[in-house]
Amino acid sequence: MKSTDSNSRRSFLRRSLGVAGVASAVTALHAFQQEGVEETGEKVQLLSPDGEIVEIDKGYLKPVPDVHIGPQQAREGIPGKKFVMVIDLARCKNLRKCHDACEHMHHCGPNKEFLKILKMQDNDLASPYWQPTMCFHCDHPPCVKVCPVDATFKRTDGIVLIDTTRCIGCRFCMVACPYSARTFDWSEPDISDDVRQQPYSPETSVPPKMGTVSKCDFCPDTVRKGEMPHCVSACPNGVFYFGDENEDAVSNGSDTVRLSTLLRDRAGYRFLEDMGTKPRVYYLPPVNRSFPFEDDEFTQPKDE
Amino acid sequence: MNTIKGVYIVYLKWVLLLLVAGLTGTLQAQEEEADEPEKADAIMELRFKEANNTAKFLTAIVKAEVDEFYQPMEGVEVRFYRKEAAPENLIGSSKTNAKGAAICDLEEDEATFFGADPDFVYLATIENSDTYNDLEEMITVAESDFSMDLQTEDDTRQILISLQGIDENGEQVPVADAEVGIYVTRLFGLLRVSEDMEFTDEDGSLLIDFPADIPGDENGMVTIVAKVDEHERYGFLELRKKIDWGVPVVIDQSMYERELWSSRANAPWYLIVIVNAVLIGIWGSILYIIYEVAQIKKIGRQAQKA
Amino acid sequence: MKETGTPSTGALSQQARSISDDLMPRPFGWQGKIWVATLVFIVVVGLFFYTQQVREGLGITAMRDYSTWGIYIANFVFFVAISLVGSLISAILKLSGARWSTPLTRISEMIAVAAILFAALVIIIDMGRPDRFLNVVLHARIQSPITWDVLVISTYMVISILLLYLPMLPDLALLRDNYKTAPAWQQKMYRVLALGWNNHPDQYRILHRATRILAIMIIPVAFGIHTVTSWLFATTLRPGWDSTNFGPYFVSGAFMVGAGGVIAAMYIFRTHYQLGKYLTDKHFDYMGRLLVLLSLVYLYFNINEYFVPAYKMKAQESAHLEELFTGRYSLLFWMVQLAGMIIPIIVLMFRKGRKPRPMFWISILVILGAWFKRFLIVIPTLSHPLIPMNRVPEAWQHYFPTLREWWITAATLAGALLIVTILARLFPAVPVVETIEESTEKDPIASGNVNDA
Repeated sequence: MKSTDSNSRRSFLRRSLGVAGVASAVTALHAFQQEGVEETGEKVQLLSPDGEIVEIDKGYLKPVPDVHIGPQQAREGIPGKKFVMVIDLARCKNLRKCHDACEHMHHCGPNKEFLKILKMQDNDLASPYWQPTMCFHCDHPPCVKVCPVDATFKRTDGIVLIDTTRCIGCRFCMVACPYSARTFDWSEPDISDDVRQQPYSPETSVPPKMGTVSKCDFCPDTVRKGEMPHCVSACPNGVFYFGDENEDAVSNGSDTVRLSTLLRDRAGYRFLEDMGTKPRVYYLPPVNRSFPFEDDEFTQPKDE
Repeated sequence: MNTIKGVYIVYLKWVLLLLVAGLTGTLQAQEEEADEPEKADAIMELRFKEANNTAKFLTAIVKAEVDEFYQPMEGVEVRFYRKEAAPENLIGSSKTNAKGAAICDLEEDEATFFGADPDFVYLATIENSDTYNDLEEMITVAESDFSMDLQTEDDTRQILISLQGIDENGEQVPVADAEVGIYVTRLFGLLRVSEDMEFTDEDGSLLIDFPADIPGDENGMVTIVAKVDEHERYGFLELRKKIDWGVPVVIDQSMYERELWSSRANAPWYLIVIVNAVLIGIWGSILYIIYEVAQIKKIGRQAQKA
Repeated sequence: MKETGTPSTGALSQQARSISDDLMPRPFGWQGKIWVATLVFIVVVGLFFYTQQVREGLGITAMRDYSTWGIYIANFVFFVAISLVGSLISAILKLSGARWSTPLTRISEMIAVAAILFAALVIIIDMGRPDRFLNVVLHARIQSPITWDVLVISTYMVISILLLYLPMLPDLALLRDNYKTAPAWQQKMYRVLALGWNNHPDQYRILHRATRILAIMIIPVAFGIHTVTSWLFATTLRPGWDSTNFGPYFVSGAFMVGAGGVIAAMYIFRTHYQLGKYLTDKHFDYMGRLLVLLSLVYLYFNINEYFVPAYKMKAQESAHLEELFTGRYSLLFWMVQLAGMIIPIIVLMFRKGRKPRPMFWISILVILGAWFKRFLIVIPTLSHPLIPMNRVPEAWQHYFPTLREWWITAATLAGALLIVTILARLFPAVPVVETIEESTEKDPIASGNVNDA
């Protein structure tokens, strides 16, 4: 009746913790020191700072504080990963949940948008559509090219980040980005003292600093926790797919699909491909839409 | 009670409960201006899960109505029982997490608790909660043996699935027509390998070809997952095996290449050479001129002495 | 000729004494005092607003996420442009043997030094984190055009200072020996700066060689400084900036405004210090001809810069060009093109137009046109990003500088003028010794001025 597999769950568990111990001293130490933790039986997959997927009992997770990735550590990408995003324009109806989640998590002010939802119209006869845009984390990033002080950088996992402790605020990168993805803190950011006290990490872009450039960071901090970027998980319509190009898979929360198949079958494209920037964000054209286009107040100028 | 066929009738119950809750809720709200904070109705989904035939546990997902939608509730205490909700049958209690799930470990050999009875009955309850009315959910499951063999034949990689279970009479029988999903683990979920859902045959087995183009890790290792979801008698079953059937991934080293967008340490050689040559040429001349200017001063001093 | 023709530092001939009396730096008159006071006032107000900017951030300007560069950058380009005058007069003209330019070299180098100093300062004013300026050195990324700009600006600054200072050594010796009415600190300054110059032939030999090397070296550096500055725009993918024409376009515009700057300064020095004998009508006539030539070159690059994209009207470019030609910036655009380029060309074609007074007003037009031309190069492009500007506050779509931004910018312009004024107050604006030399030479062409080798 019983499986001949002699793995008892506990030895299995211990083994995966061993892997975690090699991979991430901090996580594992905390996990081992948490004696008397009640195992929940539910396994979660985690991405260690070394890029290993480790499986761990959820019971061990709760007491472990977030591993803080400082400006120096943030320059190395998560090993073995190559993050990629696909945005399905046929499903976007400008619900703005992605935008709000992003704004909330990154403590952006009212006029600072890491993620914009643009009303696009390709020509006079074509119907308009909504297009979420953010930093495309280009493989040939024009913004990184022009940075005079190495404050913005391209990582091995494809993510382009900004170290606001290094940035001199010359804004050349903002001018160099053809997608206007970058924002600037023109004045002292309007954030609570709690947020201001947080240790800064380029992976969270929090806390924002006056006189420096910031932008969408692809939320590597949540990715390290095995979760999707906030915009992806906030979207109820599954517009955003996120994943690892090395695994050839992207997921929108409910579905996990092969990246190559998705782009091939749905005619995926990249925005302003002729700029030669090689974005890491792909779009699926707004055909066979889930929703008809409805204009709303979000295309109107707002007060400053 | 112990021989209910569709144990997962819980779902139906939900719908009923939902309707009742909705009706009574509105009626009550109209009738009384409650002095005490009124308790809300929650709904609960109870699942039996088994991983690699060894790790067995129950999950109870608690939801309540917020803004017209049922949403997961965190921090609700759920008690788990075997057979019936009596103190001596209590397995344990657990609070729901952020996703509304309370989890309860089961022993590896649950048969010792149920004796000869092939049907294992489990209950999950919410009792004496401050916020929710009492609630009880029940499921009945039976033991099963779910196995996966990975074999290579004539260059084709095949996954052989077999599902055996204990039937109502306590006999071990092959489980036919069970829906089995074959996946590989990916960063944010499971990627289905087979195009459509596959079903076990009358022998309880299933043979699936594994595609040759699935990327693995650097060594080509992939974790293959076989899953039976929501089987009416055996619950949620899952197997995982790691094997080198994937295409080894080539790790991108472009960050360390000398490109215009690389870090300062990896500037292209031609830039370093050109810029330094220009700097040395021009600043060399400037330094030479400054040296010459010093000579002017020297000559002036000598002339003064003379 | 150096042995015999140069005035000894001790006794000056009658003619030499009259020349040196004419050209000696003089204390400010009441006009000078008002002038300096006005400049100081503007600088102080600008400084006050700049301290606000340091405290409250660049939010006090009208710059926002789309118009992320504003008049600070336009002003920076202007300063870099006008600083090229030093290389034009004291290198290009001198090396080409145009000896008439001798009295203009000092003025042009003073302008160049002041302008390049303020170019560097303005770029710091534009920085969001001026406190981290040293990062530009500590973490310099050689791939960035800004790094190249920092390198080439500092190089140009050093060469310009040397080109101002070294040819002045004989004058400094003259001041040290003859300007006994100056305050003690000033006399001490002359003594230190003169480096023990005593007209020794070896000193002259070294000086001439050094000046010649500098004059040759400054030409590529000058082309470099403004080409690299143009690359701050041309290396981006923005319509209006994405142009291979930008380097020569900027350099030619810079020489033009540089010549305009020198003409204006010449006129002011001539009328204020009664230097009509030294800055003659002939000088104005030659500078007028030069300015026409430079304006024609600039016109040529302007045609390339606007006609070719306007002929094609690529979608991305057309919004930008239409805004310049017929849209929001059209009035300014045509004013700048006409008054700042076409009218000067026409007026200066005529001999009467090359008289000092009309030349002065033309040069003012050229300078103003050049400043607003930089505005038109920097600002309109940024209000045409490659993505639509949805849901953006109205004010973000049309950049117009705030009052404080204007004041800070005005302060930098006033500051540069103040530097020129102070330099001309302390040092002779027209080279004294060289003028004496030339006045006593029988055959200035044969004697040559740079025949060391």
